Amino acid sequence: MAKEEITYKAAVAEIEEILGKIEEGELDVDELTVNVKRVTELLKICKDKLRKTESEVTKILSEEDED
Amino acid sequence: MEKITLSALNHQIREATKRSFPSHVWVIAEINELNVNRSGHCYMELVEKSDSEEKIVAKSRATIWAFRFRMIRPYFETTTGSRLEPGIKVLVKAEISFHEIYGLSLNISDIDPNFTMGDLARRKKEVLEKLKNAGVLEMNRDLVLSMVPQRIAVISSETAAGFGDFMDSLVNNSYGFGFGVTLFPAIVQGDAAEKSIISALDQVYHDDHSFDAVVLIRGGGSQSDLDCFNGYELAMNIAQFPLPVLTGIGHERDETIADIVAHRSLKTPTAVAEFLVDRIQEFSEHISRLQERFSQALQLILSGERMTLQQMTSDLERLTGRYITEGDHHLNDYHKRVKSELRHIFSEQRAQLSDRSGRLKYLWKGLSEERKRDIRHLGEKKTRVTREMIRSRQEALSIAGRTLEMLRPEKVLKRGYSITRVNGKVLKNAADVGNGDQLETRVNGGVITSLVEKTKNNAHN
Repeated sequence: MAKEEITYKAAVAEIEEILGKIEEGELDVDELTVNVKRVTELLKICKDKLRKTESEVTKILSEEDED
Repeated sequence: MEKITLSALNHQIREATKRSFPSHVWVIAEINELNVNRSGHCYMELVEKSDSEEKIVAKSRATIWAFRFRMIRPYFETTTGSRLEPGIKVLVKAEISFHEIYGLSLNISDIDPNFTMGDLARRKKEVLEKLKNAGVLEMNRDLVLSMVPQRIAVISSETAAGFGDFMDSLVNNSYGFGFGVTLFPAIVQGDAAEKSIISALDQVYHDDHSFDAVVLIRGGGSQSDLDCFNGYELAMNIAQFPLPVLTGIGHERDETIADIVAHRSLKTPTAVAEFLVDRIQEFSEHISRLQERFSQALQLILSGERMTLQQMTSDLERLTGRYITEGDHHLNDYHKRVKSELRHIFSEQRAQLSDRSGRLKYLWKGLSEERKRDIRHLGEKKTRVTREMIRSRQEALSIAGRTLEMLRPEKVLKRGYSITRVNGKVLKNAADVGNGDQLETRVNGGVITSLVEKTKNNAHN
């Protein structure tokens, strides 16, 4: 689970890539297991992330202008 | 020199004015000041500026009496979307009146909103032209909004109803999607609005990697106070902002410049929230479709594999089945053939046997009693003779055995015979020994050794 912070875009791209391979029949049954596991994991990450609230309403504090 | 009182003069001016301007006149001017007193009368200062808008080239007081102002103002503001306030250009229907005490004043009975709209439109067009020339008009629109815009920077007035609506729609979305919202408070109405919004954008800019989109919403308020969203400076900032800017300014009529340069403009703050939720829902559906495709593809593969296995199994079964039934057939065949062969052989033999026995029986039957008896006798005699023969032979054998027993050398020695050896050889003839030869004589009970003194041969030898 090293890639916990994978972006949606990357996750979807990876899912689509694996899916393409599966649909094209490029994977044999043994390879399938690993990839199935990965896709399941990615789908779960995406779904979990969709419903995770990153932060509640916060306010930018003072106006420290001038950079 | 003719002299005249001031009142007479003013009276003359009043009359002359009346004569010169017998009815109303449509006058183009810019509102420079505007005050409404307690009884609802509106007092304005109208001006005309030079082309460069630096110098005032004409100025006049104007009045809208309360009973008219009550109707003119809302009509003007709802039609133009702009507030009746200093800074805008108007086309007014005015009667020119000159009062001996108060002097010249325009008594306004109507304002044509179309003129102001046209003027605003022209100004907007100019701004848009400038943005286009600067090459920024479509910059923000060309940005790609995240598939899942969950981290939102909101620029709004904290207390605005629109902000509340936005948050409500977003946080309580029916799908339960999570959002991270950060508010960057700004004034979104009046003269200070443009600067305030730009400053809020600057703050977001410093932390732009933390957000997927900027939402610029205006909380309720007057439908007419949209000028701040038409400014060139704000438009430049929005257009060039590195994150997609979504507007929900809450107007009903023309788009503002901010709307035009924004990544996307929506009618209300609530609509912005719905747009965000819908976009995430779209992604969520995409994910679901992928999942569906995924499980279908898997099922297809698995059922394919399963079918192959089944096919192989049934092939195997069919093949082995055929083998077995074929083998069975063969075996059955063999079995049958062997059986019939055996039956054949047996029946032949049986036939032969029964044939013979039949013939024998028949022969037997044909024989006379006497013959039968003879034959029976013959049989019995044959048996008896054979038996006797055997017995006598056995006797002869036992005699021979006994004779043999007697002839055994030990027994012979016992009876007084001896065996003499000379030089290890059995002595069978007297001529075989000479004087001095040593003889070894075996007798019953031992061996005697002797020396020859004399020999005498039998005469006939």
